[in-house]
Amino acid sequence: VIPPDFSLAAALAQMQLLLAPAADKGSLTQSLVTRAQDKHLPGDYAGRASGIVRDRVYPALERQMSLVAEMQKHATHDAGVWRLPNGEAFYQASLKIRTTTSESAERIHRLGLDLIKQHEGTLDTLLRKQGMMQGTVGARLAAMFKDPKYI
Amino acid sequence: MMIGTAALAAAGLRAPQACAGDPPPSPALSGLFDQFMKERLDLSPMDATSYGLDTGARAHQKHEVDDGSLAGNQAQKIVTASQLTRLKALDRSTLSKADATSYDVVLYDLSTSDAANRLCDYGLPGGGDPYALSQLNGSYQYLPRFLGNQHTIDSAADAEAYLDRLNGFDNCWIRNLRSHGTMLLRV
Repeated sequence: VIPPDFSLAAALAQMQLLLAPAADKGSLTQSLVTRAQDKHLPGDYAGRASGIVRDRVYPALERQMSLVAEMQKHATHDAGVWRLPNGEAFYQASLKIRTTTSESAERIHRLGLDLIKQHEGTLDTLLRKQGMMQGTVGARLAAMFKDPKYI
Repeated sequence: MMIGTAALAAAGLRAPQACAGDPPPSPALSGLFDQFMKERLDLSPMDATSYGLDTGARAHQKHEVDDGSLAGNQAQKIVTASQLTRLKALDRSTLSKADATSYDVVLYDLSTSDAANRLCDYGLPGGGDPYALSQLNGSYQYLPRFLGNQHTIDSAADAEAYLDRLNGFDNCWIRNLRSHGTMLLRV
């Protein structure tokens, strides 16, 4: 079944990223080349791996990207599985698998929201102790990730 | 990747953390769990690698990638249903307390997965993930990471196995594409 539009856009972006480097420079080739070198293995692994990547993997990836483009024509922005056949039941079954409870989707959603509120409170206190008073907790965390002091 | 908590619990039984005074594990249950694990590993060469079991009789699996086609998914669903039936046939009341707990854990995993399999057929086995191809799912996501992080290279044979898997990459994608093509486009 077709995922929502934002999921497909993100998938396509990641596929483009995988396809971006030249076949001999990409991680699929380099992962083998560097590790074979570390173990002093003789053999033309760079040539052989990049040949496979260029002739088989990249073309396959391009085919997959055109399939995603085709899927995009039919995709909607609706994120919920309720739009799928038997979707409500699938969601309930998935909740049971992932949470090992038979709680309703509504209750688990509320629990999630409550936990976020609780963690945000804790984070807010900790961030204030660091002298970070301004903006939402999310914005302050994002700023922290960019601060050279913490990298 | 394909192995669920049932198989992990089954694997855990191989090294039981027994306490003094615990009765010995039930041979019937251990035998069943060993068999379940074997069936899961047979279906997933990549799991065999992840668990470091791709040697000896399973050495050929280091050259193979998982079957992500609809037929491959169907094979997993059949195994889940069959394991559930076989586990239920075992009389829980004959088990020790520790064995009964293992039994319950595996039963829960198998029965919830089987229930999801029977409810819907979106493209992947089990519940939780409706999309076979998305920003989180698909061979383009897991194969590069797997080859980089799980597939070890210590010998020339390991390097050959890597190249075979790289070749299988293409097969896996083509299989995914051909079999999922119609299903993926279904709204």
